[in-house]
Formats: sequence, C-alpha cells, structure tokens
Amino acid sequence: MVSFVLGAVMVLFLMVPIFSSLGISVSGLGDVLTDGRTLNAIWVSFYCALLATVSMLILGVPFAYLFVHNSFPGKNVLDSLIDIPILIPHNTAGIALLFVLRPDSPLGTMFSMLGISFLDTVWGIIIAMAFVSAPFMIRSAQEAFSSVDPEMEKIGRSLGGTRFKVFANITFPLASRGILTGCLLTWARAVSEFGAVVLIAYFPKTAPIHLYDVFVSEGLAAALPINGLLILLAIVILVVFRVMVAKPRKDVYSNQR
Amino acid sequence: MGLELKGISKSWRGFKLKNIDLAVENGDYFIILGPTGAGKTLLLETIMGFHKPDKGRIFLDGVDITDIPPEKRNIGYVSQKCILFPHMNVRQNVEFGLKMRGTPKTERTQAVTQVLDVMGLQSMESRSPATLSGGEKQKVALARVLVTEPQTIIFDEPLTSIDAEAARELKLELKRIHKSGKTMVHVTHNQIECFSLGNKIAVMNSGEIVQTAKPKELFVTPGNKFVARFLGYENIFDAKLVEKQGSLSVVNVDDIKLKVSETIDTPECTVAVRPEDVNLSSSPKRNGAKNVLEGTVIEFVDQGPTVSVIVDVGLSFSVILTKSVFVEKNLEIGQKVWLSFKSDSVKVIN
Repeated sequence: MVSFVLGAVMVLFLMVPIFSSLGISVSGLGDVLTDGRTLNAIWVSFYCALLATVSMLILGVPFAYLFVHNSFPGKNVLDSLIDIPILIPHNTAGIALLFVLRPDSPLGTMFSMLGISFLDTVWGIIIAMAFVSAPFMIRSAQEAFSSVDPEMEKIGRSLGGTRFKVFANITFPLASRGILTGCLLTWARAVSEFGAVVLIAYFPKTAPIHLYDVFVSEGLAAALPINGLLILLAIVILVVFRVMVAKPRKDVYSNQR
Repeated sequence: MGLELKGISKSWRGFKLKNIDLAVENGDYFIILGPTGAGKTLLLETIMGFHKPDKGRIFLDGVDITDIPPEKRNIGYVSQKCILFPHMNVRQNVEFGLKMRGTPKTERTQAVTQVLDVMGLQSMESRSPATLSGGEKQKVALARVLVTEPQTIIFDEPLTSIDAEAARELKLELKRIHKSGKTMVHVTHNQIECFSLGNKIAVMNSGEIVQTAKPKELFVTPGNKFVARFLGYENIFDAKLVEKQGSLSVVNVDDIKLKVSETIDTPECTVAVRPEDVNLSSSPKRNGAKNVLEGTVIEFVDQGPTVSVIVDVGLSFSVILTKSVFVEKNLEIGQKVWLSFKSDSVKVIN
C-alpha cells in the first residue's frame, strides 16, 4: 500500500507539470504554429541537434569500439572522465567551451583561420550540444559493442574477413540497434540543451533559448503556448523513438541468395 | 608437412603456454586433451593467429605463419559455443567465408548448395539461427568452415554445448570429414571424445604438453601421474621394488604387496591401476588374478550408469561397477570384500 501511494506521488510529480502546462496552452498552439520566430527556433534546434548527433556518431562510435576492444593503462580513469559532461552543470560546460573556443584563444584563433567562429553561430550551438550529449552516444555504443560476442569476430576473421570487413559485416550490424538508440538519445539530449548553448551562442536562437527569451520579455502567459508545443514535440519524438527501437531488426541479408 | 609448433611460449590474462612443441601431420586427427585452465584455448587462438607468441614459431605446410593475420592462414575454426551470425540465415552463414574471400556469386551459390546438401542442411537453409537446436547450429558452423576448404580445421570443444544425441551425430560427421583427408586439431577435456576420434593425442597441463602419443599407447603407458589420473587411473601409488619373481616384479605400497608384469629397473616407482580393471567379490575366490586384496567398503559414489566403490585395503582403492552389478552385489558400507586384478593391470609410471 505504501509503495502504491509513493508510486502514485512519483507519477503525479512527473506528469502534473507537463500535462497541466500542456492543457493550458492548447488554445494558443494555433498562434504558435504560425509564429515564424518560434518555428525558426525549433528548426535551428532540430538541425543543430542532428549535426551534433552525426558528429558524435562519427567520433564516438569508433572511440567506443576501440575502448571495448582494447586494454590500455588508464582505461578506467578515461571511462570515468567520459561522464563528466553529464555531471557538471551545463552552464559550466558552456563557460569551459567559451574559454577554449573564444576568438582570442589558441584554438579559437586556429578555427578563425579556417573561417569558423563559435560565438553566436550555428557552430557554437552544435559544439555545445555535442559536448553535453557525447556521453550518451559513447555509452550506448560501448554497450552495443560489448554485447557482441568477441568469438563471432574471431570466427569472422578465421573465415577470411579482414578486421574492417568483420566490423562492417558482423560487429556493426549486430551493434546497430544499440547505436541507433545512442543516436536518438544524443539527439534528444542535444535538442533540449539550454545551459551550455546560451553561453556560447545566444543567437541564432534555439527553441529553449527562444522560450526563455519570451518568458523573460513577455511573461508566463506568452511562454506557455511555446512550452506546450515543445512538450508535444517531445512526446512525438518519444513515440517515434519507442517505435524505432522496438521494431524487429530486419536481417541484413534477408533478401539475398 | 602439416602444422608444426616450435617452442611456443605465451602469457595472456593469467594463462601461459610454456615452450610448446607440436607436430601435426597432414591427415591427422590430433587431439589436445587437458583440464579446464590448461591453456588449450590460448594455444588454439595462438595457432589461429589471434595471439602473437612471445617466443617460438608456427609453421603450416612448411611456411612460417607466425606473423600472418588470421584471415590469411586458411585454418578453419569451430568454436565450442555453437556460434552462428544471428543476423544471417543458415545459407548466408555458410556463404560468409566465401563472400569475405571475394568468391564470385555464381561459384559461391554453387559451393554453398553443395555443402548444404552434403551436410543435410538444405531444408533449413533459410532458417534463422535462433530457430536451430545446438546440434544443428554446430553442423551449420561446420558447413560454414568446410565451404572455404581449409586443409586444417581447429575444433575448440565442439561437442561440449550440445546434447548427447547431437554429439553422437556430430562425431560421425567429424569422422567423415577426417576421412575426406582434412587435418583436424580438436581440443577437449573429455577423454572419451579423445579416444573415439583421435589418432594422436597431446595431453596438456598448466600450459605445457606433458605427453604426446597414439591413443592406445597413451592409455596403456601414461607418461606421468597427471596423465594417468586424467585418463582414469584412479588408483595411483608410490611403490618400492621388493623382489623379482621370474617375469613378475613385486612392489610394496604401504606394506601392501602388488605383483606387476612389467619389468621394473628402479628401486622406486609409481604404479597405477584402472578402477574398471579391478574385480570385486564378496568371497575370497581366486580367478587367476595375481593380486588379491582383502578390504572393507567405505564409500559409494554414484556416477550414473556406473558406481565407484571405495574399498579400504590398507590403501584406499577405487573400483568401478556397472549399476546393475552394483545392485546385484547388494554391497553395504563396512562390508568385507576381496579385490582382485591381474599383474598386467598394474601399470608402471615413470
């Protein structure tokens, strides 16, 4: 009985703020959906999060593979360090990124020479999103690669597959669902990022920054419809995520003979 | 020619190989027999190329393959875990090796069809590995190796993870493959497997090859106490030579005298008697055996179809009876019994 009550309190604690604010904002959703500023902010958030996810896919997956398949001194320490972006306050991450990527820093200067600036640019948003969401990709990929029996790779090699061919034909297909989960988690984490992004790139405004901006300048009533729209989008993403991850894997070679 | 290991040493995650020399001739069914933790799998993986030896060289048909990567060695490998690639069906699993080698599709299809036919797997070619039994999986794993036509195939305890009936069928398949001229290297901890399949056996313990011999030779003349014990000689005793009586030698084991038909040239030796070579009776009848010992039953150990009876004759002596003989004798703890065995059942171990 006590467990039931505590469980009910927990569910209410999570659901009441979400659904009450969503309910109150329904009437204003129509206006928000035609508001160019809001739609643009959502677009910026979505495509920056997508680029941050792709960059983490390119960097994080090989890293996770090497990490799972190799032993080296300091591996455990490095394993712990990977989680730091999750543990630190996100504006701390923003300050740290600002420090190393400011225009007069060595790294900032180097990127300036390549025509890349991070302050108030899409690059800044992507780098901040990538920084805070990287652990999700790495952890998911690590788990996915760990779940593939190393014996399979040995058999693949003994049958004539090079390391790369075995990775491409056995390891990656078997780990792909875990990596897909990592992509979705990374994207979801990136798209909702506020603390790190706001410090390095207030403009162009992402959805969380736009919401904050409207709340500060126009008040709670004006912010609620945008808030409702973002909650609705999150629910849609959650459903898509569930469907994609739960979908049975199609055999890689199922149509071949 | 064949597979040759010269002075292989390797340390890896607590396992060690110590100066291993092995010569597997082409066409051999070579068994590497040893207990769990002996280093058998490390040895196989070193032969396969997954570990580089710390010392020593590996030769295949006279070619030094020590530095050649696993995919270029053309040594087939069947693992104990019945592992198939779960995202491919049976045909795709069997086809995998040829695909990796870049064999053209028409040749590939033909070769795979042929192997599936020979192995009796054609009816399950489109099935997913998840729907196969352990024995079926192991058969597919074997077909997957055979289609790549390696001269040498390595088996890591291939009968361990499958049921008895499937193991019996797979044994027949292994014999058939061996007869076709393949060189087989088979690792196991099971002495029954080793005697029913191998034509040469290397016994391994703690990272070392302790004896290499033909099965009969190994069975009759185990090289040391470890080999004897591992091959089922449960009654192993340190003995002193007392006298020679014609062709017989008499040894003393803790004041018990045993007659041995082998010639003993050293004052001290180790003797061993297999428990199934000992006859147990409730009366002191003589049956021509040179050794007759009186003792008391102290323990029974049920081993399924057999029962191990431990008898105190001044030494603890183990006797194996079939379950039906055990029931018929109606033995009880504390009962007085007589053990008898021939002098040539007493083996001398150097």
